[in-house]
Amino acid sequence: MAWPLCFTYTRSVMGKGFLAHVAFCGRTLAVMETDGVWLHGVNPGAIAVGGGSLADAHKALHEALTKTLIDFAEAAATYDAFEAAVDAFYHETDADLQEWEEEVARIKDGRTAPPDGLRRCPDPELYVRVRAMRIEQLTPDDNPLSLRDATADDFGAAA
Amino acid sequence: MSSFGQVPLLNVFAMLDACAAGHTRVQTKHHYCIRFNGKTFPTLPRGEHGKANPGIQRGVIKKMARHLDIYDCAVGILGV
Repeated sequence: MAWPLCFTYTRSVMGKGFLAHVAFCGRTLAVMETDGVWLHGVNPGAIAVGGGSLADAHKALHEALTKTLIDFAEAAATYDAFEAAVDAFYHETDADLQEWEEEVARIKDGRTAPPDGLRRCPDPELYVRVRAMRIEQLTPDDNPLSLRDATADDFGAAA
Repeated sequence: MSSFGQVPLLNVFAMLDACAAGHTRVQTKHHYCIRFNGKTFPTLPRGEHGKANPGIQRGVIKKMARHLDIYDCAVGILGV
């Protein structure tokens, strides 16, 4: 069984001489296995994480995205290079996009039901936003271990 | 086969050498970034700190193989 999900993610990232704010509304395909759940990225496509439950996998997705953005920040000599890397990562997808769209159609015509307990996000507005920040724009929510990580409101069924 | 099972990292590299000839892999702080055939997979985990040949979850390998369009070859070598 697979479910088409949408998610939001926000994070401030420090790079070499710059501070950036990154926000996604992305898509992922949740695949149920006997021993847990795997999330296969659609936007961004080049990522996959597993967890014992959907909530665990969701948390793992946030952690993996954060580590990936830190990698991009380490590699980027400038803010513009970081922004380009994040933008390319978000938009590069693969065959999981077609499966995600097929699963959306299956939910919409009633052949399958979305997972219980998730908000619905029919026709989600997909975006990736990267912007340079100034120090006075920071808030306590920008702390790395803030409670904004992987809350239930960040996750939804895309149909 | 469970996606939570693991494959040694060096076996993953051997699979890439066989299935993605000419690929590049760059070690970053948390991952290896694999580039092949115009596609980029920047999230292959480096594994636990200090382990020379850590286990990589099959679910990640499956995704990487699909993303890089080498899935059939990867299945043939690793059985993912």
